[in-house]
Amino acid sequence: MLKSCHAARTVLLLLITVSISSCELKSPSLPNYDIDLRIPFSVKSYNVFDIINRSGNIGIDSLNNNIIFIYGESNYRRVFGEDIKFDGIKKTFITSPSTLQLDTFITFNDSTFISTMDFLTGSLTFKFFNSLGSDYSVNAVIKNFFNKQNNDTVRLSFTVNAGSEKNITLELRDFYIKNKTPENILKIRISFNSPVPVPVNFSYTLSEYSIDNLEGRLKPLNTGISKDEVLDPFGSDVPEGELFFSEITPNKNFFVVKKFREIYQVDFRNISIIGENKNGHRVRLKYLKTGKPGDQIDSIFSLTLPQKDDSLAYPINEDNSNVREFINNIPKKIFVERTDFLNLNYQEGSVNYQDSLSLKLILQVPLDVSITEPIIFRDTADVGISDEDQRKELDKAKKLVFTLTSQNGIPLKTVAKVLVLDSLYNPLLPVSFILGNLPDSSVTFNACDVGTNGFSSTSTVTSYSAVLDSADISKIKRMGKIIYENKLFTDPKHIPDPLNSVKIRSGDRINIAGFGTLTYRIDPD
Amino acid sequence: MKKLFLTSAIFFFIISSANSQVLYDVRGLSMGNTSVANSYELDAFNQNPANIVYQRGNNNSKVYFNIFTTFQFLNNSDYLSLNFYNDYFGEDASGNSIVLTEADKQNIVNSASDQKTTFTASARLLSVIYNHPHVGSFGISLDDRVIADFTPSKDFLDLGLYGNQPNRVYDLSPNKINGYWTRQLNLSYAKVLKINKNNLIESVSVGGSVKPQFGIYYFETTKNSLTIQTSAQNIFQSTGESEFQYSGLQDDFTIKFPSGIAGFGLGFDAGVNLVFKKFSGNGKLNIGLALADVGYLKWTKNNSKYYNDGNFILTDITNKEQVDSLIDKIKLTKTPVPEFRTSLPTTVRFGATYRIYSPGNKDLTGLEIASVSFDYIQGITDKLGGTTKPRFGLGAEVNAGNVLSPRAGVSFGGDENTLVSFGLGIDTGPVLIDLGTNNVTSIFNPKGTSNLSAGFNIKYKIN
Repeated sequence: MLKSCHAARTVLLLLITVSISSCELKSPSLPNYDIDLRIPFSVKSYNVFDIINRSGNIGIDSLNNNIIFIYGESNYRRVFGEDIKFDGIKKTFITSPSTLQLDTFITFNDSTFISTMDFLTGSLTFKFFNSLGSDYSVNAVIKNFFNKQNNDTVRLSFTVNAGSEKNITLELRDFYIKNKTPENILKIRISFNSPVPVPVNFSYTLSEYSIDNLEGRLKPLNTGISKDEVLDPFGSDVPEGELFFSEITPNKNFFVVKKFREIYQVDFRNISIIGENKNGHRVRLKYLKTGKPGDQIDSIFSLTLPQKDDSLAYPINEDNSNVREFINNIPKKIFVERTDFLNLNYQEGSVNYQDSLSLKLILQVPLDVSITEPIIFRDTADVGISDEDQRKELDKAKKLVFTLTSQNGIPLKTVAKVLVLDSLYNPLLPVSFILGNLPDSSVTFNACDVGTNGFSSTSTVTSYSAVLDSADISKIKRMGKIIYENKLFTDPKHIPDPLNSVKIRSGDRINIAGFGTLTYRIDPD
Repeated sequence: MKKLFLTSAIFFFIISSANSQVLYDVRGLSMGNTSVANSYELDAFNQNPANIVYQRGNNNSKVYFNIFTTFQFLNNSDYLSLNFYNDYFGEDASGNSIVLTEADKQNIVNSASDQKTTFTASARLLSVIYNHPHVGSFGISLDDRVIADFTPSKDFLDLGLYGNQPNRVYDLSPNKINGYWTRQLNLSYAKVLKINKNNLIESVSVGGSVKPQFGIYYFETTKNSLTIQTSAQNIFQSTGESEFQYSGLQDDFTIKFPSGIAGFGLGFDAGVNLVFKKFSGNGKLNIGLALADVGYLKWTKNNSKYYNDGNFILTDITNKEQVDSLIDKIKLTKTPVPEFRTSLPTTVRFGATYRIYSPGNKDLTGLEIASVSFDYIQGITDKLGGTTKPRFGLGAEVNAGNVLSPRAGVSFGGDENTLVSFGLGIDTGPVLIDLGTNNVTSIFNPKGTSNLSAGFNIKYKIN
């Protein structure tokens, strides 16, 4: 038994020794190795709306292959306010032999015959003189002049003391004129109460006045020169450069003149419209001299809105204007100057000081363009790796094979520059220079091919590739800004004869993908 | 990307993980995992409660016990050997991490792709059996069991080791990781029923166990449909979702030695062992039948679901919003969930043992010179590390004298490989020692085998 126990112990020890000596277990540690990570930097698809920022000024003509058009509108509206005004009457003396009653009248305007008239401003002043040795009293009635408060005929009663003067002033805003038939006078009857007949001696003055409301036959009235300015009629992102539009959209371009109540005929005279582009270059819009077919086109022209019409549209096209020249300048501002006349045809009618007029310029032009000088879009984006751990991870990157690919379905050539900077705008990585290796640090994405109808036909693929070493990659840690610049051209090489412009549709897109293969050391430490 | 990979790598390569049907006793482990008919005294806990009344031949002790002296583990894998670990996940001689070559990476992918690795460990904290000559045998045992398993898909390994190839869909849905740590108190009773006037059956022992279950940690992959693909322009897109269910002593994943419980349940074992009279001229046949681990475990503490919505797309890695969104997606969203139940890994076991006695031993009593055993194990559920794939075992023990008992066997089926087992029993009188492995390669080439297994058991008896 004892021997057996010894043998057992020996066998036991032997087995344990063999097993333990064989079971070396190393301290755990995750392995290191290189891995190729395919990472996307940017996959974006742009259409023209993305490039020039879609706004209310850009639309799609679904009836014409979804071609994009630019729409511009500038509206110049005015409210008359105190601009309907008359000169008034200088001091006028009335004298006559002694009498107890006198009928007279005041002609407030030679050519304006009114049924009713309310006033905004102005005054009527009477001045009575008494050179007698006794007082006399006056009772006067202005038969067609009424008090607004009670609608009573205006009556005046006062005493003029011996050897003195008496001033009576009526503020016109408190009164109105009303006639059964249009007249241009105020009818006055004056009674003098005195023991003896009184020699008549008084004066009246009608100051310049403006009217609140007028009905009757207004004299042709110049309401003055209006100057106006409209900013960004084609949106705020008007590109630099020169675009040559091959046409404007038929039947979509108008002057629209409008009045907002049935008033007299309105004549917009001496209209001057000037468009100023981003660079300050100005182009005058020329139109038919009087808006009638057959007129010469002129940079100063007139438009008429008859009394019977509330509004009227004057079509604009390439035959009656220089609109394409005007549009090709793509105005950033449009200045308008004009003189508005009321009732040049001298008809009965009405007008109110709150009435208004507008002159609207509506332009629509399809993106059927030729661009010889590039239109340029620039942008600066904030970028950066804020996480310290993520920045440290970049130290483990060995190499980045970076590829930039475009599939351009827009018939415009794009020359792009991309520069990575730190947050203080110190350049770090000239990305487009590394990719394109050109002196101007640009890369070019070729335009797509254009069919005989002017629309894009086959998209064009362009690809660039570059290798960034660990030093370049390390700079990414400090990036804070990226500056982009895109220049857009039309490329004659892609436009078939005899065309020299391209049509841009809403569905035309350029797909740009930036991606890379990052060789990275997996290092758990 | 790197964090994702590292997190996953830690999950899949450092944490051992799991699945095994039963708690084998060390002796059974050495004999091709046979135990339902041939186990006895303390070894019979959780195998066949009817067997706790039996003792090794020539023994008639009143008490058997052990305290912290039974331990076993087994690793079942097609590739995860110590060599594999040391070659790729151990420090080199200078204490640095190993740098994988392309050949290393390829070897890892070839070896581990879609392979399930299971790790099972158990420890007996305490066990006692008291044999009453008339009433029967009473037993109590307290056992801890840890089971974990993981499966890395080939696509996952390709992605992690080589990076994302363009125009390829990586299917991560086969990735799974599960882990369970449970403790059970086994209260058993068995009695031998004498069969009179029966020429065939000498005796029948019957036994049963009531087993309060204590949950400690539970982690299971309940859903995984993640796929990742990269386009020709490196657009990185993921779809699907994954979900994990957790319960444990800690609110997070930290493991601490259990001082409480995270769940409670009840289990039952029942068994019978028939001893046939003089099955042959020099041997006896035992046939055992047991139903083990019938019951449930209700998890109640820190119950959570961890959800990962894998639907995201990355088109610009310099876009902070996209990157932040990606990081948010990778993070698991934790949601408290109500208590939930899991069934125990119920098994039915049937087996036979033929004990061979020396030619002069006409009574067929005392210590047999050898025994041959066969077990068939059928799992009913795959819960808590169980499997429904049947497993077969064939084993033998030779008693070379009263002290040494070399053992050997072979087992196959189930989730494990076909394994040749070996072990040794040493009976020194009051102290009985069992050493064993269910994979003999573990002894002679422990670094090379991917089915490392060992069991160690010291028990004491008091006459």
